[in-house]
Amino acid sequence: MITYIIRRLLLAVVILFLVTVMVFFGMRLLPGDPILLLVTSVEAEGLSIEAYEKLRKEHGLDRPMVVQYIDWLGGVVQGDLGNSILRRTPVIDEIMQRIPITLHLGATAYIIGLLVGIPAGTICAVRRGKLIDTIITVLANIGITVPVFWLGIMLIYLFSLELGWLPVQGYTSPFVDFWRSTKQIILPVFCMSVWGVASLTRQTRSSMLEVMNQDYIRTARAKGLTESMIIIKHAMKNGLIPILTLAGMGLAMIIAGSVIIEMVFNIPGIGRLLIGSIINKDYPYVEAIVLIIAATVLLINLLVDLAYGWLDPRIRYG
Amino acid sequence: MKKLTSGVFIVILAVAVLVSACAGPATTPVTTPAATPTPGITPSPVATPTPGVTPSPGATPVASPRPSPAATPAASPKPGEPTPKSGGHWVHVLPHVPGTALGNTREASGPTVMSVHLVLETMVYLLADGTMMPRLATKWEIDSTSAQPSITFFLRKGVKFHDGTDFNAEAVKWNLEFIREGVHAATMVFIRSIDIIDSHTIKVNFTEWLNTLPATVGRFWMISPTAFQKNGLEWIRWNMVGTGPFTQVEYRHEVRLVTKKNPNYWDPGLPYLDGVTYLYITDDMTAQAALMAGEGDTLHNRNQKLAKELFDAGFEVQAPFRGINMLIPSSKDPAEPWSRVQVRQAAEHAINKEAIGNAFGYGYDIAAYQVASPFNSAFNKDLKPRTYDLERARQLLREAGFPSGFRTKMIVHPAADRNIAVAMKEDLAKVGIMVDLEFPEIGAFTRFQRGTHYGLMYTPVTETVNFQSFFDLYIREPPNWFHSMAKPAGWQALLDRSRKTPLPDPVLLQELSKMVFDFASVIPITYAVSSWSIRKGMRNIGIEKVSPVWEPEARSVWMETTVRR
Repeated sequence: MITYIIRRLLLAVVILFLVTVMVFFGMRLLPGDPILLLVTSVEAEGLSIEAYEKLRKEHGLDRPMVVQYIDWLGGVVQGDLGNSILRRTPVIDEIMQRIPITLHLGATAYIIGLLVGIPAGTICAVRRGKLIDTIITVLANIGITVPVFWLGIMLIYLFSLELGWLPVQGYTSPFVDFWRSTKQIILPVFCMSVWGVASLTRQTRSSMLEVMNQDYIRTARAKGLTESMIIIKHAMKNGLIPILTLAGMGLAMIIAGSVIIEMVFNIPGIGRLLIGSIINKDYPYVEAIVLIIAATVLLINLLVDLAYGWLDPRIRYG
Repeated sequence: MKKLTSGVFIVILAVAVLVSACAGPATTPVTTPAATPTPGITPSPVATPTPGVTPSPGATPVASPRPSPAATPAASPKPGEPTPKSGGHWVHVLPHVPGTALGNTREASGPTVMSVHLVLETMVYLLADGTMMPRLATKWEIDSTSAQPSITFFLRKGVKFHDGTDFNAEAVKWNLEFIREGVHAATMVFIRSIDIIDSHTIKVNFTEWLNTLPATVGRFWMISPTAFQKNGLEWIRWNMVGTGPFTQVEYRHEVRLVTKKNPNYWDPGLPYLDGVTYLYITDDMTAQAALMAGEGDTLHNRNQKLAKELFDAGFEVQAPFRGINMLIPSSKDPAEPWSRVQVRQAAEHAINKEAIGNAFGYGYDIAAYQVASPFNSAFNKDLKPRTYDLERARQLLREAGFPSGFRTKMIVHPAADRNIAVAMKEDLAKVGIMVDLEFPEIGAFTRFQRGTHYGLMYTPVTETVNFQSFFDLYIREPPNWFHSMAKPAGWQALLDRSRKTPLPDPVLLQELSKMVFDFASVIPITYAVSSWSIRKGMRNIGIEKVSPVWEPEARSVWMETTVRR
C-alpha cells in the first residue's frame, strides 16, 4: 500500500510538471501582450517604446520563455507562485482569499449532492417502477441536461426580482454575517448542486438495481433481515463503488466547475479570478490556479482509489 | 411506464424551452425624435468659448429615449427644483473592475481611473464641451507663445488631504514628479521643469507647447506625499489618500470599493451623501437584475439593449456620447485594395449606417459620417456625408479597378457588437466586397491596435472632448496606434500646427476632420454612448455635463429617496 501511494505521488509530480509546462508555454504563445493590456488607457497620450520595454523587463517578460519557466518553477518549489502582472501583488494572497469562497459554495453543493442524490437513487432502485421512481428519474434527467447558467438566470428572475426573497448577487463570509451569507448562497449552491444530485441519483439507482439482484441479497432476505438492513448493510457498500468514482469527480470539479456560477451570481471566487486572468493575460494567476486545480484533482483521485480498497476488500494495492 | 417517463420528460423539456424563449420583453426601437444638441455654452473664466454645433445633415432622426446632453456646469438648484438633502449611501454598479493599483498614480490607467475619482481629485475637470473648470486649482494662466511655454496654476487654499496634511504647491510638484515614470511618461517628457512660486502657486514649464497639455497636466490625480513617504509604495497602491469628497474605507478586488463622506472636505456643505460604494458586476444580466432588485442605485454600462430595457422598466437613462465605432482599413500597404481612396469611400457608401444604428443602437447610437460627434468642436458641418448608396459604391469600386469586388477580412474588437460586424459584412457583400470576420480576444486584438493589420479593423474608440487628443493619439505619424492606417498628404503638418495653438482651435480641428473625411482614413459607423441607468430618487448625477462620462460629480449627487439594504 505504501509503495502504491509513493508510486502514485511520484506520478502526480510528473503529471503536474507536464500540466505546468503546457499552461506556461501555452499562455505565452497565445496572441496578445499583457503589457499592452496593462496600460490600455482611454486618455493616455501613448506608451513610449522605452516605457514599454521597461515594463516588460520589470515583469521578466523580456527573457526567453524557458528561462522564465525555470525561474517560475524554482519559485514554486520554494512556495512563491509569483506576482500578478496587473496588480503586482503576490498571486497567492488573492488566491488564498478566494479559495475559501469557492470551497464554501462548492463543498456545500457537494454535500447536498451526496445527501440528496444517494438516498434518492436508492429510493428509485427500491421502488423501481413506482410513481416515485418516475418522478425522481424525470427530475434527475432534467437536472443532467439543464444548462447551469440558464438555471441561474431563471432563479434570479423568480426568487430575486419577482418574489424578492433572495438577493441577486454577492457573497458575504458566514463569519461576518451568517444569515446574509446564507441567503446569498442559496441560489448559487442550488445551481451548483443540481448536476451532482442528478448524476448521483441516476448512478446510484443504476448501481443499486444491479446489486439488489445479486444472490447474496436474496440470501439476506431469505435469512429474514429487514429491507432497510439489507440496503444499508449489504447493498449499499457494494453499490457505492461506481458512485465513489462519480463522487470523486464531483469533488475535483468543485473549483473547476464554479466559473459560470461565480460569473452569474457575481461571487469573487477562484473560478472568476481564473477567467479574468486568462482574458487579461495575467500569466502568474493562470499558472498558479491551474497548478492548484491539477494538484487537487490528482490528490482526490488518489484518495478515491484508496477508498476502493476500503470499500471492497478484494481490491488491494501492491 | 418507460413510455410514460419519456413522454413526461419530453413535455417538461418542451415547456422549459418555450418559457426560456419567451422570457424577457421583446425590444424594438422607440420612434421618438432625436435629441437636439445644445448650442455652445458660456465660457469659463479662462477658456475660449466653444462654438455651437449642429447634427450631421445626413442623420435621420433616430429613435432615442435619451435626453439631450446639457453642457452647463453643475449649478445650484434653480427655483422650483428640490433642495438637495444630505444623507444616504449611493451604490453604483459598474462592470469596469480596476485592473491596476488604485492609489499609485504611476500605474492607474484603464478601468482603474473610473473608480479613483471618488477619493482622488485633480486640479481641473472638464465639461462635456471641453471647457476646463476649476477644482483644486481656482484659476490658471497659460503662456503658449514664449520661448518657454508654461501654465501657472493657482491652487485652492484650505484644502487638506485625508491624512490631514496640506494640499499645496509642494504637494503638486511632488505628484507631477512622482508620475514621471510609469504609464504617463509620454506626457511628462514635455515638462521641462516645475517651479514653486509660492505656497499655492505652481508653474509648469514645458519643452514645447501643445494645447492638450493644460487639460492633461491639470487632470493628474493628486495623492498625499506624506502618506506615500510614511507608508511606502506597496501600501499606497491599495490605499488612496487624496483630497476627494469621500475617503476610502475598503477595496476588495472584483467586488467593491466602499467610501465614506469626508467630513473635512474643502467645499462646505458637500458632499451630500454619507458614502458611495462602487459594486463591480461584470455580467450584464446580473448587473441589470441587481439594479432592478434595488441592490444598486445606478448602473453604468455600454450595453444599449440593457439601457433600453431599464428605460422601459422606469429607470431614468442618461446616455452621453462616449466615442465612435469605426472601421479602419489597412490603407498603407499598396498591395491592399484598401490603399485606394475610392475603395474606402465605396465601402462607406455600401454600409447602411442608419439601419445599423436603428437596429442595434436601441435608440441611443446614431449613424456617424465623420470622426467627431456633432457635439464636438471638431465636427465639420460643411462635409457632405457619404450616405448609403450602393450604386455610388459600385461606381467607385469600378473606378478603383475592382468592378467585381474582392475578398478581405475584418477583425472585430471583443467589446464591439458582433451583430454590427455581421450587418456590415452583409452590406459589403452587396457590392462584391466579401468579408471574413475574425473575433480575436482582447489580448490578441491589442496587438493589431498597437501594430499592423490586414483588411479592416472594427473597433470602438473613445472620443476626447479636446479632439486634438484624439487625433494625436490615433491618427498621427509616426503612429502609436493603427499602424496600417494611411494619412493624407499634409496631415502631420496640419496636425502639428493645430496642436500648437494656445487652446484647441475649432477651425483647425474641423480642417483636420475634413482631411480625414476626404481621405477616408477611417470609416465612421455609429457614435456610441455610455449609458447610465438611474433609479428614481437619485439626483444630480449629471453625467452628461462632464467629461469623461464615467466621472460624475459625486460630491453633488444626492438622494431624494433612500433605499434600505
